[in-house]
Amino acid sequence: MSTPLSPSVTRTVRLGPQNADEMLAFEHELDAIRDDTRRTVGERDAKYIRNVQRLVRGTEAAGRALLLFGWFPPTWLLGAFLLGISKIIDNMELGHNVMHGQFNFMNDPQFHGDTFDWDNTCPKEEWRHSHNYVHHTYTNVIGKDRDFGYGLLRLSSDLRWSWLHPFQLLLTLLLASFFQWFVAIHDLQMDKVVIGRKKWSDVRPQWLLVRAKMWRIVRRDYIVWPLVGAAVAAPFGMSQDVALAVLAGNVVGNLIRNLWAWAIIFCGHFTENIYTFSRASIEGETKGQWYLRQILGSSNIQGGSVMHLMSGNLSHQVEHHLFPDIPGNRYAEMAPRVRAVCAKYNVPYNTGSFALQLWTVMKRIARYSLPGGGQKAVHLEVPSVMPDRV
Amino acid sequence: MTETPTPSLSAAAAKRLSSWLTHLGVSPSAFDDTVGLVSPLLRVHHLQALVVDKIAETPTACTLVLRVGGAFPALKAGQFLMIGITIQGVRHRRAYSPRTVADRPDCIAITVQRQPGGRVSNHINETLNVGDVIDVEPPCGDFLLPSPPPADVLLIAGGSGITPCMAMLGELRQRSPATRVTLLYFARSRRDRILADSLTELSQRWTSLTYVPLDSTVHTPSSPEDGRTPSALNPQATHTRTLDADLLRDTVPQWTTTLTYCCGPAPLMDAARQLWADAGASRHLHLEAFAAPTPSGDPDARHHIALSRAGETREFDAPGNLTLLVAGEQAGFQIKHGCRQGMCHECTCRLHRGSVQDLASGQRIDGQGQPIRLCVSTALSDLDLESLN
Repeated sequence: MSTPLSPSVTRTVRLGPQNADEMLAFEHELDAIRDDTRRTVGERDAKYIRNVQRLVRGTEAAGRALLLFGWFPPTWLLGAFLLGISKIIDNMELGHNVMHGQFNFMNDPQFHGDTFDWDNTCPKEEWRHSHNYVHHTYTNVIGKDRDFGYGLLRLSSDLRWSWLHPFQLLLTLLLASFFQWFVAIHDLQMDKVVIGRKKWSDVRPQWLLVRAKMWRIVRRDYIVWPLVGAAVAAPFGMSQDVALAVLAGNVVGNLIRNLWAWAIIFCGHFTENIYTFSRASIEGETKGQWYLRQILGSSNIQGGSVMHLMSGNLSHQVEHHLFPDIPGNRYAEMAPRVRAVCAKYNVPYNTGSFALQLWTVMKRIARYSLPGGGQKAVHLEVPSVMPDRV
Repeated sequence: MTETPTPSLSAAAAKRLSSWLTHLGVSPSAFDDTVGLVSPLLRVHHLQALVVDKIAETPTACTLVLRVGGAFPALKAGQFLMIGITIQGVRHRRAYSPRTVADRPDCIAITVQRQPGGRVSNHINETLNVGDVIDVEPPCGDFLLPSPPPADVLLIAGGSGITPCMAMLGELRQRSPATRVTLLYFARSRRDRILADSLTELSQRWTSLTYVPLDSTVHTPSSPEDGRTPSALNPQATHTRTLDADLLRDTVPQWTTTLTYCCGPAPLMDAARQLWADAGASRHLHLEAFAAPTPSGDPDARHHIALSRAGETREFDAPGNLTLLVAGEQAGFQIKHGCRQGMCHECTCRLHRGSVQDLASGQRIDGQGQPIRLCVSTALSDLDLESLN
């Protein structure tokens, strides 16, 4: 629901670089990290993403094959689990990163941001707009970044409280369970249609695209594969059983992916100490100020290589938001340098364990289901554009 | 038409199977990747070929013999195909003219001339080896002989432009050996004449072929990177000739009514275009651009380019002597492209406002929403472009 913004005045903060010179130096240091990495992007990254794609195909094939054995617990559980893993890696490490154009340098249509499509009900065209453009340009800017609360949740006191918000923990459960469906309709901005700020006739072409993609996924996961299961089991007279087992396996596989993707994405932007920004804050923003806002609006998850793979390197959300088109597999080696720059300029660098970050997310959702709350959009005070000395 | 090799029955069956599997969520590339584990030649969508032989033709050119799979479509002489070569993780696409290989119906051959500073042509000559696998795309193009072949044909080739002509010669010899064929073949020197031995041999065995090798640097595009001056190139050239009416009268008296195919560097094709236009015989002349054209616009003019794609607009300045693709890349943008020589249309954009020079056709295009290719167009004014791919 699009709730009117709370009217009170925004808070002005000064964080990080203290004057225009420092801001420029901050910008150049981050630019240098990007340029150093971009210079070495090549064969290693191409090999990496091809291997990720093989992993996606391998786990999907194994998962779907195991589900054909019906309800036998070891195969069914492992099958549903592998299918879920496959969908997670497809959406996160492969799809999300490729659709950012991180691997466009390969000039291979299979890994090109404009031609790649993923195993998700959200059409690639919708995603490129709502995510690559809107979310990454206006990260955590209240009223601009539609990913902040997904037009459903109250996550800071920027939204005026309403009677719906006490139920938002339940709503979150719904959002997490059906995450791919919410993501699919995200860019339709149905909340605006409901309150009459957008016309359905304008949204309809987008809806047709979304509907076609949804049907493709539903037909494959919930109709065709169960029918294959039925056909395989027909000689043993167990068609109905196996078809239901395959159907249930697909439901569980999708659910695993939905919950995990939801958790990773919420940990990236809605943890305790992230900042939100007022619209005025981004007017005339320099590249250095943009970098600063990306760092303040994102949070990392500590973990090993499995965590990085399974989160699509969104465990390096800060680095991803600074350099969205650098291959995700490079964020781990960029992180120490980014952290050093943050320390040098007194910019908070938000990171923590998965459990801790998720806990603070849940706390935030619970806190803002009630009226009030202290966290409001900040106005990042822009250091004087004129140099201090004349 | 000689059509070798033809798609086999098993490849057609594999394609059908793949289209059924699409409903199960097995994408065409997943299907290809899987069968490709057994052999890359089994692929049916994104085709690959195996390098089975590499023959040095001249110090700067080599011929690759490629074994293609059953799904590779029939080859018509004069067509081109795109090959994809991966260098340092980056896939590069280039166009070459394939020809059939005698006695090896499962193979095609391409001849690759080193280009000064050329990334792909030098990689193929230096690094690519027998046993390597490269990407190939189905052949296409309309630089084709009519069916049935006419009684007289004139082929004019310059440098590596010989390769489609070689394919045509192969087809004519097999299908209609009585056709009187004249081949004018310009090269910098004997040393640089690729396929020279095969041509000499062919002309001795095939009496209706008149083979006229010509040493000439007149139609060679200037290339400062090359560092070789024409005289050093060709000290003992006996008959340095240019493509002109005299030469044509001497070799093919009835040239104005003869079906003519010309393939070579831009200056050679410009000369041919002019000659045939002056003679009022343009309809008999077929041209095939081969090397990437170089713009000849004003380097001092700066035109403002706005290129929109999926709601985002990229803006940069383009001088008149760079293609739009190169100008955009020099401004730091990644611009979707393929072959970089006007063949694959990956970089096609709609021209909403402004004028460009199409270097492939030599024509000026004034923006009314026509599609233009960034890699072969230079700006003549400020432009508004919309990406189509």
